[in-house]
Amino acid sequence: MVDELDVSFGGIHALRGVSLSVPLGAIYGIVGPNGSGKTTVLNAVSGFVRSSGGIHVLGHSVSRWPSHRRFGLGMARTFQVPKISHTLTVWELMRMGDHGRRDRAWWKETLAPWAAAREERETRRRVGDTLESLGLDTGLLDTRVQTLAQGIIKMLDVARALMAAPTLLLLDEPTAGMNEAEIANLAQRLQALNAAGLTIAVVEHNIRFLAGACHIVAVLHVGRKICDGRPEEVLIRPDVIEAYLGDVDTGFADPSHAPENQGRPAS
Amino acid sequence: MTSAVRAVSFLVPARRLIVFVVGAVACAIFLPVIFSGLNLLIVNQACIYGIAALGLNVIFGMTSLLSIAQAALMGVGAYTFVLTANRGIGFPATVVLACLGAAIVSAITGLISTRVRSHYFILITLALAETVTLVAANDLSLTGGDNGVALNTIPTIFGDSLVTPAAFAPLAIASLFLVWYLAECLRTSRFGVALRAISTDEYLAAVSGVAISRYRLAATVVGGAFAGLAGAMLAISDAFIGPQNFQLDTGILLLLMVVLAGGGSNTGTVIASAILTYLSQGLLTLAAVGELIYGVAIVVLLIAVPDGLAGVGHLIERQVRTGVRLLTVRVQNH
Repeated sequence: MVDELDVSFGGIHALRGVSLSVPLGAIYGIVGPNGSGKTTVLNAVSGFVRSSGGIHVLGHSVSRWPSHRRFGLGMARTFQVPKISHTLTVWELMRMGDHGRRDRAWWKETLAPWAAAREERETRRRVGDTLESLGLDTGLLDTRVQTLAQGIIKMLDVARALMAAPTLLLLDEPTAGMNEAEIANLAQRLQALNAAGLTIAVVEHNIRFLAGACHIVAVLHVGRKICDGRPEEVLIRPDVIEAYLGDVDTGFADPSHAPENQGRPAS
Repeated sequence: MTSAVRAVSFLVPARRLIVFVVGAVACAIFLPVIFSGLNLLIVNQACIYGIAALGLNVIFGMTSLLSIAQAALMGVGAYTFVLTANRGIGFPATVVLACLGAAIVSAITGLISTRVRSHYFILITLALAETVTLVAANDLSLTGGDNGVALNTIPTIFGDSLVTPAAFAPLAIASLFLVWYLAECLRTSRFGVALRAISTDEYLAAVSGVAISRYRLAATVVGGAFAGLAGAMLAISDAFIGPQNFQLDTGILLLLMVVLAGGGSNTGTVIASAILTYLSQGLLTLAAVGELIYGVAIVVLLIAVPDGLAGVGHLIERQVRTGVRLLTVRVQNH
């Protein structure tokens, strides 16, 4: 996905020579302490920050593309803190996700709304399916997004990204702001989507979630990649523990808590 | 979905069209009957400002590009209309030219909006507004300077001259409803939703595949075209235009209408246009006291309805829904 990526803000190097490769069909975790550059990787891939080095998305070299073109390739992403307009309803947010799949000119859409009505019906059906697949209430459609709980907003952001029918989904700290039940639900839903062929790259703090859900994890520390590999191997490495897990409850260093025991074979 | 439902589902967008046509016809027939004299002039003025404010609602209300140049864009439309009409170009074509002229000038701000944001953008629109009024006031050969320029031939519709307020009112009302309808179609379309997404979160828009700068440009073009139409209407209504019609105070009045509407609501914008036009024009008979009331009223409105009229609408809607739910629960219990 990214190759020898360098990103710097002013004199600060956020990423130095980071290369990550997300195999198609995998759930790929990117871990690291605060400030290690996890989100910066996603932002570089999204085209939100200037970077040097190669960025390849689904067979295209996109490092010089504007954001909206990159997301036209079948890539979608969520945000750590979704900033959603208070004027948008759930239905309109879902339509934003669907936006890139339509190519009718805006003025045609405005002057002849009945022409878009058929597509809108199809969209409405897909919205229902998508919300259901994530275990969300389909009765929320006319609710203003801002009035909902943070955990639900995060799930809606995932639903919005799925509305683009992506082949590659980038998730930015999806579990932040979610409770334990929501996290377990999310892990389960993501594995189901992955089983249906979706490639997922997830930036995450929550080791328990990562170890349970990911096939591969890469560990970043102050802008460099320390290592990558299967979670049960990587997360017990002494340098990883020192960089990140040092003062945290390291339940996963104990083999009895290894991911195999959590019902997820890391293949 | 059953095939019967599918067959009639095209009626959903048609329903809005029917509502607007019925509303326009009803207003065009009854408003000139109810109002007369100065009040009818204010109705016409409110329609004209309403059209311009709906344009600004696309630019500022939906896209959050804060522009104070909307009155100047009206000016571009008005001068384009008068100058082409006085050179013998026919009536409907001159209105189209007025819209085009204002849309092109507005597009300049749209192009700039890809480079500058927020307060810098306001300064650019201030510069544009000042430029337009200065050109109008100083280019004596073309615009007549501060003396303005008169419309030589008042257009006619179905052989009826639009010279009296009563004759002009149906055209003004029909134009307002047309623009209101278009703005409402735009707001609920995929495009309108994308504009509203851009205004709060550019990142959300970008990851949805929205080419942000192109959409901003399109918003300014649409908003400018509406301003051009408003300018042409003003020129027909007054049969005369001068730089004083398009000063900064009018630009700020239009901005207040959109702010009072709140949340990019078109209906709110139309209601706010009626209220603020009445406050700014209807109280003029009270001389200086009128301006004082106008000023105080604006402050009170902005404090009393911080979310704008749209916020009040949502509040009422919620109350009604809660009431209906309580009522149905009570009925079921019996």
